[in-house]
Amino acid sequence: MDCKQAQNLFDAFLNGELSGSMATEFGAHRLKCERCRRELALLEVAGHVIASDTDTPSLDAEFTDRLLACAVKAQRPWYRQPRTLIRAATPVAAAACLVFAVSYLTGDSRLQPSTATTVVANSRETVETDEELQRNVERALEHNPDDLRLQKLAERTHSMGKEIAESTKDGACLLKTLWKTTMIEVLQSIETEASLANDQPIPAPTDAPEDQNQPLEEL
Amino acid sequence: MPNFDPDQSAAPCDKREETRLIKRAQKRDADALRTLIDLHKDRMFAFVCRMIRNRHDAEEICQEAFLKAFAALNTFDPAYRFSTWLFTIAYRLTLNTLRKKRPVDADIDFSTFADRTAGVEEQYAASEEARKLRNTVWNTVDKLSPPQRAAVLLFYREEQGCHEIAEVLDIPVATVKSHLHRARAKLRTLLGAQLSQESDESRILSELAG
Repeated sequence: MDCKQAQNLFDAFLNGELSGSMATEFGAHRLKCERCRRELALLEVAGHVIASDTDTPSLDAEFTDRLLACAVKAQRPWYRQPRTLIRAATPVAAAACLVFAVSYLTGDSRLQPSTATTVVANSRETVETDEELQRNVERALEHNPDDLRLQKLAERTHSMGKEIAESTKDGACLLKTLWKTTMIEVLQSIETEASLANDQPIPAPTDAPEDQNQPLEEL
Repeated sequence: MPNFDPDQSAAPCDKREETRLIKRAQKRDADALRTLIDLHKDRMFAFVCRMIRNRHDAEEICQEAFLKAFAALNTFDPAYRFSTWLFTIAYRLTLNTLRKKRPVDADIDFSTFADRTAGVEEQYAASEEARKLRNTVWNTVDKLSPPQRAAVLLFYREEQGCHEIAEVLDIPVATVKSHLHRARAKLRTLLGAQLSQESDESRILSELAG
């Protein structure tokens, strides 16, 4: 084995992939060639520095407690939800459901098309979405001020926004986790209401168009 | 593979124990979640810190990585190591942050954390030669591209094999080997240059003394 062949095997040797007769050949060359021995030693020393340097800052002692508090808050609705809802809560499904949610809650015809589109776009985001959601819900509420479910949704997004604004160090974390929580809650309420609607079809209004936006439970 | 003892952080538990822990964690057992965090947080933080060189960002990434992992715990495939899965999530979050950030955001001077080893090792770590060596090695690592740097850190510090690194970085095994090769080539060049410069200096000094 010459130096060129040996150097081509440096990586295999350092990756621990050299075995059998090749390893023996490589070892034999290494013993007799000072240049290869030196270069290999250089790489081994560099690897040791990277592996063993105890030079990184460490997390503070409260990291685990903070994270657990955050995780419990984030997960609470997760383990109370039926599995079907969790599966539905993928971004695309969530976006679709949220459009359905807003259009269903607001009676669709009175909702500006741009509002629904914005909700779809925003629901794909993770961080700055709560304010957008809140704005969109409020905008939808302007069109349907008497819709009780929409009022409830607005109330929920408002309290969520307030809580996020008041949070300090874990603000970013809560922002994301609460957003997801809210999405799942919305999905759950919509699914429940949708199944109720399927079981008991709402009769088409005959002579009272103002009933179109009446809450489901009053019909 | 390098022989790296996992320093002061909690040692990873065996596969059976890990599976038990994850099953409990899937049922939201707070003790199991805590144990999982404590087992992996230090290594993950060290990896992310080295990647991103910003303590605040690194802490946020670790927090988010754990939260994402816990949220998706039911989808975890026990055929994989939990640490591999965690590092995969952390690496993706790190890349996202690196894409948004500029290099000037680096706020960690790793030299201030140096020489924490004790006893005999401390003498060597504090020597001028060792300091130069460490600086050259880490300067080289810091100049690597994020995937190259990640491959080097996972290989040497986390003792991960090329296949496992390929899973974490979501790239082919051949690309991992290529990253390691390029990193070593740079280390060879820079360390070689440093050593020859030092030998020139010592030759001149000995000639002057002579």
